[in-house]
Amino acid sequence: MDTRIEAVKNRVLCEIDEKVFPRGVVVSTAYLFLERCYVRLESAPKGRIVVQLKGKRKTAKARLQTLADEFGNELMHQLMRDQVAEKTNGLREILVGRALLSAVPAGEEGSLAESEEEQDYLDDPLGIAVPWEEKYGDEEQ
Amino acid sequence: MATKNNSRLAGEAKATLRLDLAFYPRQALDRAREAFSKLADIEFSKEGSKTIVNFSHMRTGVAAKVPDEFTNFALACTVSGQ
Repeated sequence: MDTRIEAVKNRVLCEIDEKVFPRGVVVSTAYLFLERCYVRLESAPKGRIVVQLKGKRKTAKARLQTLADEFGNELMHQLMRDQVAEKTNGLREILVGRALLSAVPAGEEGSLAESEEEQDYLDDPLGIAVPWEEKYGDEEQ
Repeated sequence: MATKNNSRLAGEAKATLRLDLAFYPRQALDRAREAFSKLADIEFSKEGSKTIVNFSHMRTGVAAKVPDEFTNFALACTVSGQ
């Protein structure tokens, strides 16, 4: 990450290589700094991202440098989080799936499927297949 | 990334922002415009991969902060998917 302090404009510019820090990581990091300073993101040539961190009040040059350094540290933190999340994605899905299954009350699981299996396609409990004449033919006469 | 402040016209503070569409999608900008509608008149136009945001009639006293606060708010909207 390259930084350039512009004390007159009360800001520091951080240029980040998108190959090292993916766009999502940069945006997540920028989001964490919204409360401390004014943040602006912009794409730059050669797959780079420029992050402008501008003090909300007049900020000393040393403080701007600290802000940029802390942004760099947070970038690393977010990158690690991103990589760990990617590696453990499958495991997380299994854990959540098991947790949801264990929350289903005993006896309910598969009860619908079992009752469906017991029925035959020839069964006609509602008498839908019975012809009208058989059902009501005598009443008409 | 240029910001132009032009407060020479009495009572009509103006500013212009050029925001990258890759980071500030239109939906987030619309949400930000709605939130800042009482502080300024805000109009958008498109120029390639940038959205030009024109502020006019900014409320006196907050004019210097409106564009920067608008940008922060729009980024927050981008992240939260609003």
